[in-house]
Amino acid sequence: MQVFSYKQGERLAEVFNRWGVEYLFIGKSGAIFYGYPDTTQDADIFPAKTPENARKLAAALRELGYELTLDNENELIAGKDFVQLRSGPFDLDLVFAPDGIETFAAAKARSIIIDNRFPVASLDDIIASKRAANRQKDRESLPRLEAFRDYLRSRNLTALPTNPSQPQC
Amino acid sequence: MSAQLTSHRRRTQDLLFFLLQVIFWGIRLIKGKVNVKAESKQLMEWEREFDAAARNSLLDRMEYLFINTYKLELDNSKFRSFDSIAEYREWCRKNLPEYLGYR
Repeated sequence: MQVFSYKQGERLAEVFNRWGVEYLFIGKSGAIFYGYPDTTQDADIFPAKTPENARKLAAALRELGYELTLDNENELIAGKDFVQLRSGPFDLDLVFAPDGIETFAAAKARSIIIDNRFPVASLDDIIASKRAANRQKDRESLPRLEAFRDYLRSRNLTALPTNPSQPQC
Repeated sequence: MSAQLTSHRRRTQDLLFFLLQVIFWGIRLIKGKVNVKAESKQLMEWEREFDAAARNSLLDRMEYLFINTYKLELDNSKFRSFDSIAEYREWCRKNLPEYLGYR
């Protein structure tokens, strides 16, 4: 099992795009795309919850190297709210109905594309989702994550520069 | 004479009440100041961390921020699915150790 990295993210984005999967990065992994400096162990994806998107998602996941049985694929298509995958190149959580976010369409409207390839839910949505989940690990990380959002706002940034050595547009 | 005594006693009571108020609010203010200082110190520390993160590229940040450690029970199945988030939370509550923070 490899750890999720930029290269893995790049590959995921490329394969998901090719299959036309509708998705957003969310959770702490999503916040890391904004530049949030904290550690996490898996990537969290918020896919649109439709049978058509689930079919594309299953195909894309197989191409990425995840072992999905026909039963697994049927479960995705039937419509699950949460799926954990530990059978591929990196740990992946599929959160089809994150706490605190009304719909995929609404989250997508507020999302941004980072580094021209990574669709990421808005920091406000990531925070709202963690606040609504209200698990111990969310409660512990929220004050720092909110401070990071305020840090970006006070500097009129949507995210930290992806490559600080290059001049930013 | 009696009226003078009553007036004097009332002034003393007022003064005592005023002093108690000063002590009460003084303690609260000091406590408040201590908390404000701690909070702003924490915020300054975080801002230094955010400044440091801003000096790294996304590629570097992702290289170091995703880690892999075995998580008891959570990593024991290749595929796990839940009909609802409530069902997932319930599974976490029943099956995961508290220290993982999923409750």
